[in-house]
Amino acid sequence: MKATDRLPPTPPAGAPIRPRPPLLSARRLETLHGYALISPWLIGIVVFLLGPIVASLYLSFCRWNLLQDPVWVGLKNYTTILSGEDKIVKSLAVTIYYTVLAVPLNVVLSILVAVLLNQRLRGMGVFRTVFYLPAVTSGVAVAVLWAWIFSKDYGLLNWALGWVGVPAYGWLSDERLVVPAFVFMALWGIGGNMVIYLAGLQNIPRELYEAAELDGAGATRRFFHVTLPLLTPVIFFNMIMAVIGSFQIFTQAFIMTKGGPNDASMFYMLYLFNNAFRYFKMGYASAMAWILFLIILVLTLIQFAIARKWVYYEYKEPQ
Amino acid sequence: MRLVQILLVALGLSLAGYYLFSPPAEEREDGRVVIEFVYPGTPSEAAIYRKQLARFEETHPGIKVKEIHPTTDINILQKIQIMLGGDVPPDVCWLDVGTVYQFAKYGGLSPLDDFIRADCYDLSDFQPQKFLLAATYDGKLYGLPNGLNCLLTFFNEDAFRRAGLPTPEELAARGQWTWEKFLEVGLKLSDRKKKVFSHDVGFTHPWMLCPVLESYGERLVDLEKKKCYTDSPTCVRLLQMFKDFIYRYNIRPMPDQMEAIRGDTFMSGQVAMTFLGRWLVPKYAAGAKFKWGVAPLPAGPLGSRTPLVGDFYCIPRKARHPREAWELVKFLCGPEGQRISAAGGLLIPSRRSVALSDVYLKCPLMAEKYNRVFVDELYNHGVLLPIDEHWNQWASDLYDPGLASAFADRESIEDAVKRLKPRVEEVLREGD
Repeated sequence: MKATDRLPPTPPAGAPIRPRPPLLSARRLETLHGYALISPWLIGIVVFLLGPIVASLYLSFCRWNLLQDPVWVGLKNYTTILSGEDKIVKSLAVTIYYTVLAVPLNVVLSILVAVLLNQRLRGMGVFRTVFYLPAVTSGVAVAVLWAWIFSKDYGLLNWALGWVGVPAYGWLSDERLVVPAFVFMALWGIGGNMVIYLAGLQNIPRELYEAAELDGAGATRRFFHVTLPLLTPVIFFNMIMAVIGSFQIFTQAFIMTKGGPNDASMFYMLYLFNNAFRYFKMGYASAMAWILFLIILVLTLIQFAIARKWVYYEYKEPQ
Repeated sequence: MRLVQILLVALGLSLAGYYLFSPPAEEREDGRVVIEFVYPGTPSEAAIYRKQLARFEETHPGIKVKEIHPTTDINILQKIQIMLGGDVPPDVCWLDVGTVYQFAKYGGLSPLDDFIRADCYDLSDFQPQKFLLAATYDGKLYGLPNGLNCLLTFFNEDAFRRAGLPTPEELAARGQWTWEKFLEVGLKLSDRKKKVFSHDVGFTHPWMLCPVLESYGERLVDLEKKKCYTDSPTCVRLLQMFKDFIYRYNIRPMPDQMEAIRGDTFMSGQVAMTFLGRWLVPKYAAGAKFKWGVAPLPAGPLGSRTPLVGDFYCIPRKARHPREAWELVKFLCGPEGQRISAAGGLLIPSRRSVALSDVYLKCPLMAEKYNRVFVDELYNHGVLLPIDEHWNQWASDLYDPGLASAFADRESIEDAVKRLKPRVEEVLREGD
C-alpha cells in the first residue's frame, strides 16, 4: 500500500469546494463554552465541598488522628455514639433544649419586629438598619461583647436588673441559666430573619387588606387572618433555617463558656470540635457530623410533612 | 471569541491547579534556605522571639526564618495540627508540655536522637533532667525544652503587713507554710462582705491538684495501670478542704463570683494570694500598685511540690529542612538563645547554666531572691504531671469541669469523685 492511498480522494474538477467543517460544531462549542464558564464553580464544589463530604463519610468509619493514616474500624464510631456515650447524650440534650427555646422565640420576635418595621413612618430605614446590624457583626465579636454583658459583677445586664431590684445572676456560670442566656443573646441577632419577614410582609397584596377592612376586620383580625396565613411560607422557610442553625450553634459557646459550667453549654458542635481538634479523634468527629446531618434531615422532613397542615400557598396574583 | 474564553478559563484553572496541588518548591531567599517556625504570638512573647531569631540569622547566614505566630495557644495548636495533617508542616514548632507527648505518639514529630548523636549534643545542662521525659515517647526524645514554669504562691505583702501577719515567704523560710497555716492566715485576710478574700484558686484542675497530692505522697492517676485514685481518702479530704475554703471558711470567692474577676483579682487587691506561674511576673511588675512577692506552694507532709511545666521546640516528621530546623532548635535552646529568653522574664531558662546566671537571677522584673524561688522550687520540688495523649480529654474537659457541681455545692465531693473515677479510667484506657 502506497502512502498516497490514505489521502482523501481529490474532488473532481469543477465541483464546488465545500468549506472545511469546523473543528467543533457551533452546538458543541456552545456547550463547551457553558461548561468552561461554570467550571470554576463546578470544580470548586467537587474539590472543596463534595470531596470533603465523601472523605468525611469514609473517615467516619475510621480511627484517624490527622497525623497518621486512617485505620478502618467499620461501624465502631457509630455504635459508640448510638450506644449513648455520656457526653454525646448530654450535648444533644443541651442542643435540643436550646433549639426548643430559641426557635419559637426567634420566629415570634422577628415577626413582631418585622411588622413594626413595616410601618410607613419617617426614619424607618434607620430602625431597619439598626435591627439588622447584629446579623452582619462577626460572631466572635458578638460573643466577646455578650460575655461582658452577662458578667455577674460588672455586666450591663445585672446592672440594669439591679435598678429594678433583681439580684445579680451568674448568667454564664450558673448551669440553669447558661442556655437561656445564649437564647437571649441569639434573639439580639434576629435581624437576618426579620429582613426576610419584612420582604414577605411587603409581598402581601394591599387589596386583601382593603377587602378585609371593607368586611369590618380590625387590625388584630387582619393580622391573624390575612398577614399570618400569607406569611406562613416565609415562616416555614425561616423555621427550617433556624432549626438547622440552632443545631449547629458553636461560636458563642466556644468563646464564652467552652461548654461549661459542668457541660451545661456543651453543645453538640462544640463537643464535635473537641473530639476533632482537642482529642485528635477525627473519625469519631466525622461520625458525629453525619449523625447530626441525619438528625437535621429527619427534623426537616418532619417539618415538611407537618407544613402541609399549616403553610398556605393558595394566593395567586390576579391575572 | 468563545474559543478564546474557553482557552482562558482552561489556562486559569490549570494555573490554579498547579499552585494548589504541586509540591512546594525548595524555598530560598537571597540564596538562604527559608525555614518556617511556628510559635505563640502574644506581643511580649513575639518580641523575645524576634530578638532570638535576629541573632540566629546573624550567626547562621545561610538560613532565613519565616515566622508564623497565631495569637493564642489554642490557635497555635490547631494551626500546627492542620499544617501537619495537611502535609505542609513547618520546620520547627513550639509545643507545650500538655501536647508534645500527644503529637509525638501520633507520629507528627521527628525524634531528635539522630541529630543529638550526630552532633554529640550535650543534654546535661537541661535541668531538671526529668523534664525531658515529658517529650519522650517510646524511648526517643521529640523536643528540646525552651523554658520552664511552675506554680508558686504570689502574695500581696502590703495586705499581710496590714493584717499583722507573717508573709508566706517568711513562713516558708521557717518551714511553717502548710495548708493549715494557709487557712489560718486566710481567715484573717478575708471578709466576704467587703468582697475581699485570701485567694482565688480552686485546685481542681489536675495540673494543680497532682502536685498537692504528691506532697501527701499520693497521686491522682497511674498512667500505666490506667487507674484513677480520685476517691482515695487523701484526695477526697483535700478536695473537701478546698471546697470548705469557699463555703465553710469563706476565704475564697464563690465559683460564680470567679467568673467576672478571674485573672485580675490579685492585681486589683481583691485577693491577697494567687497561685500562678512566671508568665504573670511581667504583668504584675508593670501593674501592681503594692509590694508583692512569691513563695512555694503550701507544703504537705512531704514538703511543698510544684508542677513541672514549660514548652518545647520540636521538628515535625515531614519538615522540609530538618537539618536547618535542628540548627534553629539548637540555637533557641542553647546558651545564647536562652539568655535572650531569660532577659524577657516570661520563662525560667531550661539550661541550668543560664537559670543560675545573673541574666536570669538579676532579671529586674523582681528581686533576685524571688527569681531564685522559681528555680529552687523547680529543681527541688518540681513534679512531672501524668500527661498522656488523653490529657486534654480527661484532665481539662472531664475531671476539672466534672468537679464544678461539687464546688457549686450542688453535690458532695464523695459523689463527684465516685462519678468521675470510672469516666477518667475509661478515657485513660482509650486506644488500648
